[in-house]
Amino acid sequence: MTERLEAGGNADAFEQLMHAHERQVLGTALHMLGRLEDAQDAAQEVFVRLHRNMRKLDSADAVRRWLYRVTVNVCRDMLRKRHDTSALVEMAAPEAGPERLAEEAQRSRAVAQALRQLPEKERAALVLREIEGLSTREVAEILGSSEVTVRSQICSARMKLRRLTQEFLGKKV
Amino acid sequence: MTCAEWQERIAAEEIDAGVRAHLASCGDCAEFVRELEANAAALREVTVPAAAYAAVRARVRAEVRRPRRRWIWAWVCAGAAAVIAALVLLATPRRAQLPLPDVAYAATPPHVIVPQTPVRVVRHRHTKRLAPRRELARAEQPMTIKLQTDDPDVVIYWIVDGKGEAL
Repeated sequence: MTERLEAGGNADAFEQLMHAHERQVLGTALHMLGRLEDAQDAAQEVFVRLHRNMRKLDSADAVRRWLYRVTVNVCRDMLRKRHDTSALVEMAAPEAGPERLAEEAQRSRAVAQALRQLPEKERAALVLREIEGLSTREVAEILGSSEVTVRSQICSARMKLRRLTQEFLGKKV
Repeated sequence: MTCAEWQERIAAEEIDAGVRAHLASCGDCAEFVRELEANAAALREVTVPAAAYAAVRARVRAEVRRPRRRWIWAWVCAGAAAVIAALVLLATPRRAQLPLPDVAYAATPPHVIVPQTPVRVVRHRHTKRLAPRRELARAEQPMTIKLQTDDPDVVIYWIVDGKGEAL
């Protein structure tokens, strides 16, 4: 992959990169933005930027980290531009199928709703750490913060997420 | 240490032997850990429909191809502009060598807006009414007519005698 990128970023290499990272980009954007249409817009912007910058990225890991960083930045820009925050709870939580308990599906929706209530930076830190499974150091690099700050943001985000989820589920906090 | 403080440490991933020992003996904090894990699992379960990926790919492909076309047209336009500029440069010296025809001087005058009542520039030095004879003589004195053109920077002054003929 790296050699192909160095060779000049041809269309095949770009297609491969898109396929390899679309879950990462679209998933992160969906968790950040909470609406599939917005997440698609963000993912499109991220991949267009990747197309312009792929020659500068010299390894698969560099591409992965670069994509996380750009995805978070694009989502932040979109969140700042978005004035209407009322329709932020459209994130597609899984439907309660026969194999799933209704309580779990309810929790998924409540958690998705709670995630939307978190401050932008805490949400980004939590998404990268909890959902994408990055280390605190990686999250700090991507967000341009210190590890201490990120740890604090993640801690705060988890506590708030728990409290809000309980509120949405109608439990005592 | 209170349970709230233990939970802060757990949420901050500061897990050590002390935290583990507390978790083994505290039902509330163990439940707190289970809740955090359930929330994280719920977040990870959110799925993106497969069609959404294909739609993004299609939109990206369309987007990355568009600028190339723009560049091609930009080059075509730039080339055409360069050719036109070269032709103009080649033609310009020849024209300059030719004597200008007389008709060039007889070009149509600029469109002027003539005031309906020409302003007569008169300076009254005497408050006394002039004698009719002197007033008549004064009427024969030249008048200045100010003509305003469409161009605010161009103002034409036209001096005429009392009969309205140009001087």
